[in-house]
Amino acid sequence: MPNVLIRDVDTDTYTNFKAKAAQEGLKLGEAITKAMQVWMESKKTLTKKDKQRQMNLLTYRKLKTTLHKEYFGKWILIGQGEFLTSGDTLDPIISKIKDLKLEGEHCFVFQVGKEVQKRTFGFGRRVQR
Amino acid sequence: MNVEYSYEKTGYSNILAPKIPELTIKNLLGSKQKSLNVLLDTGYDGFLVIPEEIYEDLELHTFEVMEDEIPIVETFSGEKFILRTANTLIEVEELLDETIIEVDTTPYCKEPLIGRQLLELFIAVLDGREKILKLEYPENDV
Repeated sequence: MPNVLIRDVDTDTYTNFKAKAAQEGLKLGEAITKAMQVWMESKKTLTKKDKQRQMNLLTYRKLKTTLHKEYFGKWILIGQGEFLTSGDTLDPIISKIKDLKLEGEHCFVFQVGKEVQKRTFGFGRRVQR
Repeated sequence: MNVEYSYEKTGYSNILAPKIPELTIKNLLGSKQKSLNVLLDTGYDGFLVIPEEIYEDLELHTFEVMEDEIPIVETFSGEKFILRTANTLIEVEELLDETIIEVDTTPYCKEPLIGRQLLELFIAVLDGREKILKLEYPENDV
């Protein structure tokens, strides 16, 4: 890992940052790395897929109550910002994806109300921040 | 069916862990697939977590699970982050025919890991003395 010298850092910002890092039990380098990662993440421009995802998410949010009332337990396909189809199995979903040539586009495919077990990464050593 | 796997480290990890040499992952259309060498992480309780590049290559964003259905992940150290999860097909050579599972991805994942939910499909024996992972898929489940 490189050692870097950074000029022209604002004194108050640096002092507060250093104090906060110490309070969190982080070395200054670790805290700055995290800060840089967060900053880079915030600068990411939305790709076509990200925009599709947002549209699909918005559609789901609008339909959430209806889906849970009327489609509980069914497989659902949301794509192109619309509720596209539902079924008791995945087959009609797969057919619809093929028919509409949605492969490569963002879609949501899920079973309404299916409980998904919480994920925990035990030691998180290979899932690095 | 009963298969034994190496317990020794793989070439790309510095951490000792057992491995399953050949796990094939396919998107639900079966149009894209990839063979993976995966490490077993008994501290991870999902099915399979893969790096984002593999997730993108397989175009798994077409089969994503709604994020409301996926809880936020917590690490041992208490850090929390959101996963992206998709329905996918997997197959394990000599052991498991095509099965639908949920596959997770996060920018922080650098190599594929299998977790306890996948392990729970099998009878698994971790023989530390012999450094062998034995996996059995009961015949009557086939």
